[in-house]
Amino acid sequence: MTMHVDVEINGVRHRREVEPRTLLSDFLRHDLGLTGTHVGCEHGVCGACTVQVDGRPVRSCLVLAVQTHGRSVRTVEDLSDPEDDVMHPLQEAFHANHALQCGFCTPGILMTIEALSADLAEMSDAAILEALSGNLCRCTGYRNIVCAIRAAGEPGDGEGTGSWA
Amino acid sequence: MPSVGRSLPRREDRPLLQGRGRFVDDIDFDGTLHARFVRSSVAHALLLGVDSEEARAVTGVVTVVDAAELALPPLLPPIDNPDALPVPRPLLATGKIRFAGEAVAVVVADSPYVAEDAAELVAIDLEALPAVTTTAQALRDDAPRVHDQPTNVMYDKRFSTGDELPRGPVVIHRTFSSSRQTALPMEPRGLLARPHGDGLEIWASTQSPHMLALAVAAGLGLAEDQVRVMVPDVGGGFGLKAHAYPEELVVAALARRLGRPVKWVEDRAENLTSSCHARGQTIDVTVSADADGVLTSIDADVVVDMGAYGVYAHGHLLEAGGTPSMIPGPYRLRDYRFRSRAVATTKVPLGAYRGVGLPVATFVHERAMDLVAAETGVDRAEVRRRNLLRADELPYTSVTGQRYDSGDYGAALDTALREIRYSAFAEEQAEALRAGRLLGLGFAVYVEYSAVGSSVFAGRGMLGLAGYDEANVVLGPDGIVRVWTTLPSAGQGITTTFAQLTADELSVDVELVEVRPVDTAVGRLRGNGTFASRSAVSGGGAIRVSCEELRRRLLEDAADVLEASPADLEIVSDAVRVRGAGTSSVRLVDLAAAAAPDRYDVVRRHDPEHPVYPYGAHACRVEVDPVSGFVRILDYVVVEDCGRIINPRIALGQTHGAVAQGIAGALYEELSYDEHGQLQTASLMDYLVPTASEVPPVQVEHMHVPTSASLVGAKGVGESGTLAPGAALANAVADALGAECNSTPLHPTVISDLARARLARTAEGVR
Ligand code: FES
Ligand code: FES
Repeated sequence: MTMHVDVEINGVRHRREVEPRTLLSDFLRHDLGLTGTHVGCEHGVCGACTVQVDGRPVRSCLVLAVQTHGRSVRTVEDLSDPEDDVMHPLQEAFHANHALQCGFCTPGILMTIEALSADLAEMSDAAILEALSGNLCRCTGYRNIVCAIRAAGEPGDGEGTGSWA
Repeated sequence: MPSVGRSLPRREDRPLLQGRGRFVDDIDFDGTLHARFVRSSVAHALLLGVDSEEARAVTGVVTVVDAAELALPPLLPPIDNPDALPVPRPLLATGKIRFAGEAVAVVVADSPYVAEDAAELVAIDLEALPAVTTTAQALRDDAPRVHDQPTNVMYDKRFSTGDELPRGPVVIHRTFSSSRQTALPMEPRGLLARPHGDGLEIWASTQSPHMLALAVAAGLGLAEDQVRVMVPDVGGGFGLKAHAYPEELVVAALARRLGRPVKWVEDRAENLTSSCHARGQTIDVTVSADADGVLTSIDADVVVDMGAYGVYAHGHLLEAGGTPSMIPGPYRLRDYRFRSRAVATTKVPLGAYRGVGLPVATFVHERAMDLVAAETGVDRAEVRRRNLLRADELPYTSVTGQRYDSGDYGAALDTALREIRYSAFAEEQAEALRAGRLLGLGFAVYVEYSAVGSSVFAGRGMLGLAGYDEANVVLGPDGIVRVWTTLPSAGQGITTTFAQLTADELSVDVELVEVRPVDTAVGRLRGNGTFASRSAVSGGGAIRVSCEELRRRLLEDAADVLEASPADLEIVSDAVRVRGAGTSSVRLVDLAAAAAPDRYDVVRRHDPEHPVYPYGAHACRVEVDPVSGFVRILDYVVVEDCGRIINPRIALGQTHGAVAQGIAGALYEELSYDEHGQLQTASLMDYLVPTASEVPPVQVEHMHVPTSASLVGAKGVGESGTLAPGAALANAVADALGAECNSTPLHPTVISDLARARLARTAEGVR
């Protein structure tokens, strides 16, 4: 049995027939080839699979593709274009601050933080840590991630180096 | 401008940030099939049969294979060590099940969903046997035997400097222990195999592609050049992916038999119940010192819970071999005895995890130092100073034969103490205590071996580990220098740092250098792969010797063109020119265009003769919450010497990550089993990986005493940060509580009891 799903993904409308049990993460990765969204646990803890649904961060391993019917989904692929000279300020800040090593957790963190980015400049360190509490990173020890988020909240294109008390 | 020593931005970042990384599970071919392993839910049992009829009937299932149908030999790590028994590991459980999570059969289907459904339908007929869940139990005479051997002790090594060790006058006897932990890379294991000609192409999330290729070829009865392993982006390894696993050989065999691509990506539950664990050890130690706190002897009994099997190709000697060899640590010690055993239990096999046996060795010698200090009344920093090897004593061959190359251990300690404000602490602590607050300060000095070469592996009898690494450096007709090595990138940034090294070795612009992903078909390279902090030392060495030869050829050919002697020529950015002669030069791209094929295609090997020895000191201040038992890290200082630093920002990132994992092991992470051999922490809800809130900012200070033991001057930076946090934090918490902390992780329930007792003592006026 399949069900119809009509969903906007990164600004493009997709109409597909999917098995009702298909996870959004698998739909994005394997049906649409949007492999920037990663799967690190499939039980809602690691945050690697985070995408935005109607602008809010959502764990795509905990959502069925059919539940996004009529909604708008945004993945890491939408933050900037491979052809762009300059990436999204958050991506530039991650690059400048060495906030990624293996990069497996990175798309989920970007999509989590980007959903809040309007308020980044006002966020305290504690608020940044809180915002990151649902994303695991095994490589970086998080410090440079916090610095990058700080830097992205500062004026400029995110190329600055953020500090963390 | 030299590029080594500069924090060049990482080349790997952009695609990873834009969602264009390519990890194993991102690769798809038409007609790819998906494998799902059927795993035992029982820890120990006779395996009577596998009934896969119902599973086979599911639409979309292509085949279900058990051990009988697979009919391939077990993985037998090539270990030649008189103290070790052989531990063969069947690719799929055969006759017996030895841990919960062991693969019994595999379902192949046209979608992962169908494969998973069908795997649920495979019935395993078994007769349960009693589980063996602790080494104490496994060592009992009447314990069930995990293997077909008269004992569960699969490795038993004794070492002694003499029949009688000098004892006393101060004698301290303690038992230390470390719980099982695991590397937990955010990307679990995965492999995709595709038939190609008469062989196989494999994309694997691995740290050891060349070893994997050899293991697959040998296991499947193929010639070496029939198996090609390519390494796409790897989402972290930390040792866990340094091994060739049974599942990987099974998937490769299935692709060949079915004539179709087969993919396997484990889920997190499989990662926790079938990828290797680490650090499960109990050590009984007797430390003797004189009244001034100077060590007179150490006697250690190391018992490693190796789980059901070893790992390929390291076998089951990793921690049992490593820990006792480094228990003497950075200290002057002549009288030492140990016994070290690897004991089989019905648990997940023990393998590599960042630091391997050395965090435990450091825990032992650094807890011992604090205990000697307490016993003798000598200040704990001073006790260490009296025992630490002085800079002028190095190089120094330790009692276990480790050749500490260079360093200044005392300076590392003193810097850490200064930065943590040790001298001011006692007063602050006393004042806080009067206000009912429990502050503690702890520190630890460590020394680590890294970049082990073939002679050392051979000496340990680990014959399946190459010990050397190779590089293929090629100047192409387009003027680009391309570099392939045997060391895959799993987040360490070597696509960037190897380009920096190559650029400087050849004196070319770093923009002209391209480091390519590992592909065993290129250059017919052989080598070890990346573990034990070896990339910079061993891979860097291979790059250096390859570049020397390429440079020699370039200068020789340019000498003809420029009618000069090679000795008068130099390479500058993208050309060879006559030194000092201004205009007379020939561009590399023109040399390349005129050269015979292969002329500028160089493969060279580096086999480190001796390991190198990074070292350092960690110090921290903590506050213990007496109610929750929570340990808050107030300050954390790292002083380290990892040799010449290729890219400071990347090196610092390695240290941040390693320290975070060390802290995790000290305070949070524990793989615990019940008495039936069931892992109680088989999800990320139960296995507590720290989030951003649990990892404090870490202050890192570098020092550098040059070494001649490393060709490129680097000592390796991947692991050292994991060595000292357990010891430094345990010492700090012990200091806060006025009680001993001799096992990790430090459990909040135990800590809060001790904390309340401490406050009660204070209230009664007892100190
Ligand atoms: S994969 Fe979705 S939270 Fe881990
Ligand atoms: S960069 Fe590897 S898990 Fe975060």
